[in-house]
Amino acid sequence: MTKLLEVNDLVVNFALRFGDLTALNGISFDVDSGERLGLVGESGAGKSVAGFSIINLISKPGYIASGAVLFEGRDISALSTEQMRHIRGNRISMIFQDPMMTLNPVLTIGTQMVETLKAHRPKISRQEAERIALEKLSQVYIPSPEKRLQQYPHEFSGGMRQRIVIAISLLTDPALIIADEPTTALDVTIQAEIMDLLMELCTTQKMGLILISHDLGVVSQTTQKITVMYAGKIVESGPTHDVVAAPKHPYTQGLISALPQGLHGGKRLNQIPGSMPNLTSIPPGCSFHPRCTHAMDICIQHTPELQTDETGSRQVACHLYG
Amino acid sequence: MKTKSTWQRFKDSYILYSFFRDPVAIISCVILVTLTIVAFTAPVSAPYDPYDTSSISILDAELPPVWMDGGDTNFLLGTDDQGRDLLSTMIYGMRVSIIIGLCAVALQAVLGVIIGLVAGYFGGKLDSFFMRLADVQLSFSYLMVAIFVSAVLQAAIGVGRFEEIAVPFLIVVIGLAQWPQYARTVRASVLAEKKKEYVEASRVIGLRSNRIMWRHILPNCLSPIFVLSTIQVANAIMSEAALSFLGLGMPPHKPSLGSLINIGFEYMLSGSWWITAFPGFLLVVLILVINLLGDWLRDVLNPKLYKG
Repeated sequence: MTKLLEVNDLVVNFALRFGDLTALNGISFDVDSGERLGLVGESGAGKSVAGFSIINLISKPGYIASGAVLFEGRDISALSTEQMRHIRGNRISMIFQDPMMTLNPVLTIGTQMVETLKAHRPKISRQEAERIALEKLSQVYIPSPEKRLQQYPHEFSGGMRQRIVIAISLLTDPALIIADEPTTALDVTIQAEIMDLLMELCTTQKMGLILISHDLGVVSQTTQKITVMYAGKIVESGPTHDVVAAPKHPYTQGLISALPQGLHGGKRLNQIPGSMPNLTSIPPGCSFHPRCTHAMDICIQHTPELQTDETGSRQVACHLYG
Repeated sequence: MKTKSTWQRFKDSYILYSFFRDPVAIISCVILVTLTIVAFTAPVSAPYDPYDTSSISILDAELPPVWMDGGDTNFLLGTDDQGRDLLSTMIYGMRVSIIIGLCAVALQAVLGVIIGLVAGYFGGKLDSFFMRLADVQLSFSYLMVAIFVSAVLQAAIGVGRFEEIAVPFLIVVIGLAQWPQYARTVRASVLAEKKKEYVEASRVIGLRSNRIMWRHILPNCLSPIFVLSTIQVANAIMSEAALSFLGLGMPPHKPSLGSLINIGFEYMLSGSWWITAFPGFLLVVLILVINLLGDWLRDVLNPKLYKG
C-alpha cells in the first residue's frame, strides 16, 4: 500500500553567488493517513525548508536538487505551477508559526475563507462556501461563527486566530497538514488547546500531520513518530515513545536532557555546548562531532549513514551504533 | 450583537472621528464640496451661459465688479474681454479644470498602479525595465514634452480641430506625465507587503498570482495611494492651468481657469485686474483645500508619522 506522503532522499540546495549551499542533504521520511509525525531540530536544522519543499514553495534561490516527494503515490516535486496549485491548500495545507501575520489584515475572515474555497472549487456558490466556512469554524470551536465571519483579524485574540488559520487550512478537507511551529507564538495554555485540537482533527478526519517544532516536549506529547534533524540531515527517527524514552544519538540525548521537565529543582539546566554549524562551513565527517561528548576519531573522518536497528522501526546515524 | 452595516462601520470609524476633530479638514471639505457641486451644476448655478455666443454682447466687455464705479448689477464679478459674465465663465472654467484634473489622475492611477503592482510583485527584469522607464520619463520636463507634442499636433491637424480635442489631449498629456509617481509609490508598498506572511500563506493556500496581487496586496497598499491621489489631483489641476496659461490648453471660447488667467493677463496693466485675479484666487483656493485635505488624510492613514 502506498503511503500518504513519502519523501525520498530529498536534497534541497540554495544557489548562492559562491556556489550551492545544501540545506537538506538526503532526507527521507513518510507519513500515513491519520498519522502524526514530528520533525524536530534546532533553528537552522532545515525543518521549515523540509516543510516548504513538500509543497514546492521553497523561497528563491532554493531548489530541489534531487530526490522525490511522493504524495498519494505521485511525484509532486516536478509538477507544473498550475498542477501544484491544485494540491497546495487543497490536498495539503500548511499552518504557520505566527497567526498574527498569516491573515490578511484588511479582509474579513469570511472573505478570506470563501476565497480559499473559490480558488479550489470555481463553481461553488457564495452561500455554499459560507456554509462550509461556518462548519469548519465550529469544528475548531470558535463560538458564534456567524458573527465571526464578518470580523477582521485584529478583532481576534492570538489563540482564536490560530484556530481560524487551522479552520482555513481545513476548508478543503486536506489529506495532510503541515504545521510549522504552530504554537510557538502562543502562550502555554493556548498551546495545549491548539495541539489537542490538531490531534483530535487528525483522528476524526483521518488526516496526516507533520508537526515541525523545536519543542521536543510538544512533539513527544502529540506525535506517533519523530524525526530528529541536525544541519540538514536526519540523525535519528523512530516511534516517538521509544525515541524519547531511550534516545540513541548523542544529539537527541542532549535535546532530551535539556528539557526542564527531567530535572529536580535547584540544578542548572543541561545544555548542548556550542551551536549548530553554519551551512557554509559544515564540519567534515559527522557534522555534530564538535559538540558531541562521545566524539571519536572516526567521527571526524567518516559521515555516519542512517542505519536501521534490529527492531526495524528505529534509525540512527551515529558511529556509536555502527 | 448584530453585525454592523457598512454605514454603521463608517459612522464608528476612526476616519470620521478624526475628521470632526479637525476644523481645518472640515472647512476644506465644505469648501471643496461646495465648489465641486457648483462646478458640476454649472448650467443651473451660473447666471449666464458663457458658451452661448448669442447672449454675449461685446459692449459689456471689461465691466468692473459690481462694487466698483461703472459696475453693472447684472455682472457680479464684472465681465471679461468678450463681454462674458466673469462669475459664470469661472464656474464653467472650474468645471473643465476639475474634470481634466480628475480624469488625468484616474489615468495616472490606473497606469501607475498596474505597473507598480506588477513591477513590485514579479520583480527582476520587469521591475528594472519599468523603473528605468520611470526614471527616464521623470528626467524630461513634462511641460517641455507637452509643448512639443501640442505644437506638432496643432501643426498636423490644424488649430480648429486641436481645440476640439483639447480636453482629452490635456488628460492624456498630464496623465501620462505623472504615472511614475504612482508606480514608484505602489511598488514601494508592494515590496514591503510582499514579504509579509499573509502573502506567503495565500500562496500556500493555492491562490493565483493575479488574485494575490489584486485582492491581497493592493488593498494593503491603498492608504499611500489615497494620499497621493489627493495631491495629484491638485497637481493635475495646476498643470492644466499652467498649460492653458501658456496657450497650449483650453481655447479662449471654452476657457478653463488657466486660460481665463491667461486672457486676463493681457488686460491687467490696462486696469482690468479682475479678469485674472478672480480666476487666480479661485484656483488657489481650490488647490489649497485639496492639499489641506490630502495632508489631513495622510495624518489619519499613517499613524506612525510623527506630528509635532
